[in-house]
Amino acid sequence: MALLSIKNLTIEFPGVRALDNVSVDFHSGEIHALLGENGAGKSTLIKVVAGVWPCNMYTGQMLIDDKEVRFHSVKDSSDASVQVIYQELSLANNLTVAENIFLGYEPRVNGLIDFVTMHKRSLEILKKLGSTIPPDAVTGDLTIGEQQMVEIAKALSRKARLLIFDEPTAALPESDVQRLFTLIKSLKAQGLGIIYISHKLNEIKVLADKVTVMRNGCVVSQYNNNNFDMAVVVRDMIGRTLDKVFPVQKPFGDKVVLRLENVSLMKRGKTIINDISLECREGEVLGVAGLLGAGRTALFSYIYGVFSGNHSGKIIFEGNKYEPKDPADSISKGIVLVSEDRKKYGVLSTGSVRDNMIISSINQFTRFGIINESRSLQECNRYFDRIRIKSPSLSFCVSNLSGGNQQKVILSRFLMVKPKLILLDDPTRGIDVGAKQEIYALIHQLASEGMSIIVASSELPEVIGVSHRIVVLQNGQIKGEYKHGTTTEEEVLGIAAGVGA
Amino acid sequence: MFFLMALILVIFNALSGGYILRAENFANLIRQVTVVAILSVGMTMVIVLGHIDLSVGSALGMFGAITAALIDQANMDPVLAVTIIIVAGFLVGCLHGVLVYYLNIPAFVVTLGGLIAYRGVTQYVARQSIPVRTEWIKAIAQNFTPDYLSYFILALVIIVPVILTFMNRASIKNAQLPVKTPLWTEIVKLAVISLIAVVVIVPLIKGEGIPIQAVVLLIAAVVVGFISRNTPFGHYVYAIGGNSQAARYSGVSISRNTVLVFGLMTMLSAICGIITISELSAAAPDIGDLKELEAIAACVIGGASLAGGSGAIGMSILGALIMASIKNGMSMMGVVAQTQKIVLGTVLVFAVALDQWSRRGKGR
Repeated sequence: MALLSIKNLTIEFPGVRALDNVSVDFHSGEIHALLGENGAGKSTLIKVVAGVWPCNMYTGQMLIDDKEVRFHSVKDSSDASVQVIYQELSLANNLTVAENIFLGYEPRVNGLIDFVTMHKRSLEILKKLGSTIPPDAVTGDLTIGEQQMVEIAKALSRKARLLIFDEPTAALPESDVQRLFTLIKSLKAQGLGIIYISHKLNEIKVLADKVTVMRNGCVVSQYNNNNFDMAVVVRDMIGRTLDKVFPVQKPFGDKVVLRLENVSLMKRGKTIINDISLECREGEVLGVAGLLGAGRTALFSYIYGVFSGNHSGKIIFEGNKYEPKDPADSISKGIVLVSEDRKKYGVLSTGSVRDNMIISSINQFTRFGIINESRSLQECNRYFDRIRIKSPSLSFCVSNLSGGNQQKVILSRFLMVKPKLILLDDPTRGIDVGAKQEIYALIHQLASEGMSIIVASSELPEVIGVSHRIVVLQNGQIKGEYKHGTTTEEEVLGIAAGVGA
Repeated sequence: MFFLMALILVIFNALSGGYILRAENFANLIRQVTVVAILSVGMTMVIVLGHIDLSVGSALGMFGAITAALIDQANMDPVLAVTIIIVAGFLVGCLHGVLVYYLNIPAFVVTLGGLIAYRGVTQYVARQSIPVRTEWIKAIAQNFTPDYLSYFILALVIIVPVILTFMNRASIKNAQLPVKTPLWTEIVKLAVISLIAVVVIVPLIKGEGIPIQAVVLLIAAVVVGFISRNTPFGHYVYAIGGNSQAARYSGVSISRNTVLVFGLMTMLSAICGIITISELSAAAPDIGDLKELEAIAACVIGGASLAGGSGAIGMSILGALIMASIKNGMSMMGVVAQTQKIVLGTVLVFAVALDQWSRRGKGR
């Protein structure tokens, strides 16, 4: 008997059929992976199971223990022991860690909240996850990785028979990933059913007992772990075979576009970047590899003009001394930043695809203070096709797009200002294999057109594969530098983790 | 939503016994609505930006009173006085924006302080009602457009939307994109607009003409409406309201746009102050009282979200019209002022509930 059984589920939104007659079973004591490109319907399926999309919005059935269930809200699914850990975290940033973990289910004593018990139980749960986050820390002050840990703790604190992970390792450091896997396996041994959504195929191979592949809202194929062939699965996902993940690299010239000299960054007394010097040339793709907390994002935000701490050192951009001021200034000089947290710093959620695309480059289409509609539409159309954004139209509300397509929209936004230096912070976070490949190809196409690109990522295969040259950032310092093809993932990881010299 | 609103308007007007459609009552209705409608034009932008402006009614009173005082007591040339006031309105609004952005004081607080302080100024300056004798100022609220101008305006109101609609479709086709809304929908919408225009304006022409203050409203609505959709400034305001961090990272200047939006709002308040003293031929200490709440209600009924990022000027004006129609209709039916307030409060909540309900499935 299946723990959760989905039968003939179909759900439609204006302009798009997100799930098309989907049927799939999930069992207790089993890790069932859900694979698919962005827009394939995985997140939508999870939202249906979790009650985010209530029962009156779809046709089809959901059965738990062979009995039909109809969820009207998230609370219904939570009461039915279904817990979800979302890719986009759902925490209240102003509350403490303990308060978030027990949100809605606070332990009571005499009708009032029992803070002591709450603190103690939070400590226990976090310890089981191997985390040292203090329960009274304010959630908004934590890094994304730490917040995700709180999210997992929250799910585990409630009664859970079915645990759903939506891209949980996207922002977790390597060490925590292993701990998470061990934890998930032990939960499986305890009899929980686990649904695991991830784009990282190597993770799926290690973890999953069963794999379901979706494409365009339909279930395409299912495999057990023993007949799981990566190439076949990828083909199922994108409908075509992936030849080479990383494009052939073109040579670049000698002209140095960006030079950092002895740059240090400090915030609230803590040194985040310690005396860094690096160069990036015209047409070069420079990779910055490092674990979470190494300082990649801080470095980028400094160059872009949004760093709010103390700094020392020099930046020379295109031969001139450059003092970062604010994003508008950086953009006007030709420097753009695609941030790692697109929900917070990227997407204008109330706007359409077109609004999101033109926001940084409006002045290009403006004459006498008035926007030239047709020119702006033409330009958007060009990038729409070139970057292959999957959206019903330019006037579609961008918050209804999948994460990967939202990222593409933001990328287009910054390409439309015709930049000379592009800073990409974790550009393929939460993006599927097919779209990743498109972005790598795009990166090299832009490089061959003379743009300089600095890619920061904690996905080591990605940063090693796509860059002409990488520097390894460890604890705010550069501890290694390699040309493409002269290093391995293990070596870089060792340096990034501070193991050995 | 647009059709729903237009329908409500028509129904309510008809329900009140057809009295509404008599020219003199119409002119009356338009007068009642103009000030709130102009304020809602500015308030829409403030709300879209993600803020609120509670000082609007008191600012209206303050600037109206000072104008009257400058002309009557300081013997200033009326044209100079009005110009100074409008500029002052803009500057005071900019001050609000500066306090909100640079000192990080919530707009609610800054403008609440304004509401209290400016009312004090009004009550002081106009502690004894100040008469307004300047003919052209009185004409704004009390006179009407001559027939030729009225017909011209009617023609504009019908023709311009048609031209804009087709230009819009042309520019979409030009970009080789499929045109999303079918032609018949747009034609129906244009027909409804034209119908409403005729139904509204022709009786007026047969009467005394279009109230001049309504022309002021029309100009304000068209200008600000155009700015909000076709200029970078407009886009930036919606962007900041949608996600101010993302807007900042995209190179949008939050400081400049915030200051400008608040400046615009208070400038419009000043203009409404002048219209109000024109209406009364005097400045009284309580003019503009509670007008900010009516303006906010108009925007909200018109679908603007108080969280920022969405709202439209045309819809806010429609919201003002709905409220005014209901008030007007109730007066015609002999409902007392106290009961009117109860009804209006209920309608406000109901209208927003309706709007939220109609949005519920469309993505979160």
